[in-house]
Amino acid sequence: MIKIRGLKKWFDTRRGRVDALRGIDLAIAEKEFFVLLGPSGCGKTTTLRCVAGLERPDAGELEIAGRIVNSPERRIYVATEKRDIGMVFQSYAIWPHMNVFQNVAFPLIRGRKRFGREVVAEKVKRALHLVHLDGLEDRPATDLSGGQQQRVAMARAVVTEPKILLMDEPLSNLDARLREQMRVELKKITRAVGVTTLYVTHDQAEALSLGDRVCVMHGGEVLQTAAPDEVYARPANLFVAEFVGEMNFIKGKVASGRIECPLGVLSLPVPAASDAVTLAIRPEHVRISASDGASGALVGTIASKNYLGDAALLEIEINGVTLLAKLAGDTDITVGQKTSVILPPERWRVFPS
Amino acid sequence: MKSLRSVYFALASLMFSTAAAAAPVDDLVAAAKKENGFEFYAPSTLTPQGAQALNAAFNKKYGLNVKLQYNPSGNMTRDVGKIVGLAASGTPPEWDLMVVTDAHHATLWLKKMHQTFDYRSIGVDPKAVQYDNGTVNFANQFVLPAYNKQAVAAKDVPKTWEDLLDPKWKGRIGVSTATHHLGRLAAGAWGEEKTTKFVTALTKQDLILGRLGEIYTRLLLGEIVVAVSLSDSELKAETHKKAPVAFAEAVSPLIAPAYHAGVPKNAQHPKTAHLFAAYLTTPEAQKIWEKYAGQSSALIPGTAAYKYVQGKKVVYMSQDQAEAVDRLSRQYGKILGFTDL
Amino acid sequence: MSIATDAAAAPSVDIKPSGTGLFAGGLTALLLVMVGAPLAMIVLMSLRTGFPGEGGPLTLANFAAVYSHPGTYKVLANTLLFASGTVVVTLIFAVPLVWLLMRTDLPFKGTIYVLMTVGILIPVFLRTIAWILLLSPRIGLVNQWARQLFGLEQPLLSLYNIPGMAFIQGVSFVPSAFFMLAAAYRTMDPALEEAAYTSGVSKLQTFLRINVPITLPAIAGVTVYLFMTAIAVFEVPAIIGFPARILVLSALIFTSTNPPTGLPNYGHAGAYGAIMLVAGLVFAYFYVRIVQHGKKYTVITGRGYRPREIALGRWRWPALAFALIYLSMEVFIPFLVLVWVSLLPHLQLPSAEAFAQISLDNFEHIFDHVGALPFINTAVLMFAVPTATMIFSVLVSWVVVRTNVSFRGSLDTLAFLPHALPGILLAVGLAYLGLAYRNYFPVYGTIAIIAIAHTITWIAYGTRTTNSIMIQVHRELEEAGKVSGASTPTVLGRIVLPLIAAGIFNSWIWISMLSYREVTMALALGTRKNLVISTVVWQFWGNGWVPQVAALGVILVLFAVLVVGGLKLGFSRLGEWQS
Repeated sequence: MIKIRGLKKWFDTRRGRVDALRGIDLAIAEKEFFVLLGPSGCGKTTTLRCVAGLERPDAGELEIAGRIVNSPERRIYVATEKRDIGMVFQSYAIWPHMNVFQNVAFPLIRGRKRFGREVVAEKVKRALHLVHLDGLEDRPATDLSGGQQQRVAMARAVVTEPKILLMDEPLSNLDARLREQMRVELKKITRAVGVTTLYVTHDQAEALSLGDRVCVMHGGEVLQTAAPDEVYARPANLFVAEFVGEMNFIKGKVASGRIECPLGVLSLPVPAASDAVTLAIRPEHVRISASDGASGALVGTIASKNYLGDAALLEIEINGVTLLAKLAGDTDITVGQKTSVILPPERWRVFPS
Repeated sequence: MKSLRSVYFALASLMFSTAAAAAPVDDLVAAAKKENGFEFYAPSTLTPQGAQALNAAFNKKYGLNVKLQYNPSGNMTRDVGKIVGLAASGTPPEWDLMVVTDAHHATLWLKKMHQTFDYRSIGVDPKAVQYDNGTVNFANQFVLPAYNKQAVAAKDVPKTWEDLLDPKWKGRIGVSTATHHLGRLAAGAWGEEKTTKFVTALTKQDLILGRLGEIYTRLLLGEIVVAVSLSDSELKAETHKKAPVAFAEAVSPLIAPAYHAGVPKNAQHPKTAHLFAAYLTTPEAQKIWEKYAGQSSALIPGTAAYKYVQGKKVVYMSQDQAEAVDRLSRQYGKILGFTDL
Repeated sequence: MSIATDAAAAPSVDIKPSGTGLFAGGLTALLLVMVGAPLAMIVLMSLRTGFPGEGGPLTLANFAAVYSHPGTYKVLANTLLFASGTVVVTLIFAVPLVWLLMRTDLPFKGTIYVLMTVGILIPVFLRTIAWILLLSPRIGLVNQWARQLFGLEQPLLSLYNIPGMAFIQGVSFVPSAFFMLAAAYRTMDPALEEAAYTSGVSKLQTFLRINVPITLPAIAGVTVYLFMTAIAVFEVPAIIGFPARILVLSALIFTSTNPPTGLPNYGHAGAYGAIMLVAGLVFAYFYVRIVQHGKKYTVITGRGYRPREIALGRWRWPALAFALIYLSMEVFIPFLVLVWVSLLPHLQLPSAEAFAQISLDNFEHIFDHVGALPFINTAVLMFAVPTATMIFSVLVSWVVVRTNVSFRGSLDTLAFLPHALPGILLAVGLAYLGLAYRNYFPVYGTIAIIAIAHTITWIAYGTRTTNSIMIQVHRELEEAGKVSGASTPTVLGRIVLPLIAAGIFNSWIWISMLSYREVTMALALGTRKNLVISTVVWQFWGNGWVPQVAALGVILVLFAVLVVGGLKLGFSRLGEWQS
């Protein structure tokens, strides 16, 4: 549905050229919920805005629904207003001089395809029903709460039934509880509409829970594109591992095909041509048992315990290294206790340092 | 036979002379009928009502029905400059007849920009015809030192121009940008040397400078108590009648700038304009002009101005003084500190 | 596949340069002509002797005459002193007033705000007459009282010197500066101030160390504007400077083009103007530098915050006193004097005799003297100038703030340039253009030429305000319109314009006022056909008809208070979601 090939964008500043996008390649399937994830400044919003036509790339090609919409090389640029898209902005961008109805109806009255009064009323009604704002048509935009504004923005984006829905951190301005609630609803709405969605966020939990596929970006480049569980379980590199979820990192050295680290010498597959590596393991994969002396197990001391209700986070000291372990909340292990620690070899990830 | 011949001769000469006297006017009247209207530039003090009165009386006198378009003056200097500029680019002037001061007409005369006409041939007093048949002098202003009646005791009122140099006026005397007043004095009665000395001596009085109206305002307020020169345009204006400002009438000579009517070259309606210029010297036009604009001609017996100048020594400006007045006005402007160049 | 997609894409493909780029290019070209043509005329004028339209060879004679004369340098020094003094006086009043009115809980803010607007309506001449009546060394009331009270020999204060001129001119510039700075202070994030207070810094220190530096680009812009305006104005120099032989550049340019005798000397005016032009360009350069430097901490409003007011505490009343002292100088005293003078048959100081002469005669006869034309012309100016200026400004700001057209920075600088171009020079340049090329540019002597001059001048002011208004409108509001499929003109008309309407209207009113009271350009371009009220006032003053002018002034002030008050009230609802 959306094809991005070799997308590049740079800015000329006084200190020289700054690259915002260094060649992005993506292919997003029809009705897919695709998430661009990364820290601020990684280029995810720029990519989204290029798809919307709000920014113009300096090189590369953009294709929407089989039609080239932007290609600097071939001097093609289809203006934003001529692209069949809907978009939800970070600030919601609800026009303060219009009421709810006028906001949602605007794309139908002034947009690509124009409709008669009755059709507009019907479509707006349906869109507002979809976002659970029935009956709020006449409310001035300035009298809406943050959550309501978000819903109006959503309704406005889908009212034309676009092929593509773009969302730029739409939940980042909501408080935590509302955010989770909206996350669920957002997914429902996009499913109901059956629209291809490109979603930008810096919140990894949001990305993992919403996306059919997640694309992790950094420094204007794509680091990994995969299903959420794949990204979580097998991060493509150290940056993805650091950015998505919690992980323990331990430095190690490669010596004759094995890895030496403070926890001992491990036989793990070593990345080609590297002698210094970083070992990584997720806290929930660190297994702890109160009984010491299990064969082959390491021995550690519990340094701290952070009780979260459903889970408990324990810091364990082993040979001068601190590891974080995530256990069920009802564990009876206490601070100061000596425990045996098991680190299953298949759970380790090894990255070149 | 002889007598018959002499009768014939007398008749012929009579006919010839009346023809000579009457024909030019008739020609002008006939031409004016064809031109059917003209643009009249004149001081704003005339007012539209005054212009209308002149128009009506003019039409009545010559049996015409022309429309006079009154253009009240804004800035005479600049408008004269505009005429010069228009002529330079070959565009006809906006106005057919211009009433400006003799000094302004001097500028046009020096640039040879008058449409001349033998005004004497239609009965204008030769004394009133100026600038080589370029203009008709038909009204006079009067210029004298003025004082604030509340601030100056009767015995202190200046009696001569030189009294203005009295140190008691220091810091309390003003002079206007109309330095042509002094230029006229220099070109006429006093001569250049005496006047220049006088002007130079004036600068020691810590003069307050300003345009004519501003000097009048400051005199009224008492910021200054004596003005080196003001004109009757300021003093006798309807709005100023009750003000405590008066001419130092004892001072002599009296300076009398004049208003001339002249037709700029390439004017669109020159015949009507010439006829009207001559008409302005008639007693009926004088009455209307005096009623509205406040002035009349000192050359025409019976007018207020004529009566006023009787027994007075008056400085008129003649065309051969034009260059000197222009040069000296600038020079005095510089001495007094109005301009830098 | 690619062949098929190309065919499908073909009809709706936009090729660079886009419509926006073309539009921005056209706008830039138009502005270039508007600013450049008068400038070119001034240069041409300075290189020619003779009259507009006379042609003639190019020569440096004017420069030689003007700059070999030692007096010119004295005049330059006077001009610099007068202009700097004026700017200092203006900023001393304007900056604290802006802070007090925009950021604090000063009492009667609304009333003070309205009175600031009213003050503009009092013609500068009349204001100056008020100062003469108060401070003239001989007759000034203050000096007379001082003499009686303290038995002074010498007058206590004198007006007729450069500080006196700078004081009067400076006070009269305060409202302009105020309204230009207000926008900058309004958009400043209050958290920046609050952070200083929570760090234990006093209010005064915060004002000096936080507010002033943050708004420095705005203050720099205002300073350049004030300085160049001060160099160009000539009302105060004419009334206060001229009598005491203190000549400034604008007075020389004015007398060169309007000499008391002889013919106008455009060549000298051009040569005098050249130095103004150089000064203006130098200032513009520094301004652009400061603004670029300032961009790194330009503060843009966040989402929907409402600035909290700073409690002045015990400083409330001294602050109010400060505002009242200013208002007395700007409004109360001049208006009182205006009313007094308008009731008298001729100008005089208060006395029993004067009181006996009070009547309404001047009001009854004022329209006989003035006629209808100046009122019609002024009305035309007051409507056409702000409308044209704001249309230009909105379009320029939109290109500068919202688009990524590559030359938008140059467009912004170009729009600022008229700030650095002294009004008298612009007017003289336009007059020369109108006279010399009247066949191509047939507006000389019409009200249109004054409207053009005013519009060019205030595009700089207009774009400064529309820039800040536009920045306040979140970019995404506009992008949401485009994503909805609305065309660029629709987005501008349906979204941007309604959002900025209140701010635009404020600027519109303000420019209308500036146009109403502007006299320097109107006079330099004036003929009898394009008389406006401000030039009538000048002529009346020149004729010594002061009471008549005062009556006119009183009528205008009262009329304008009604009109402006009514309009403001009508539009106040628009402003609710604006500010």
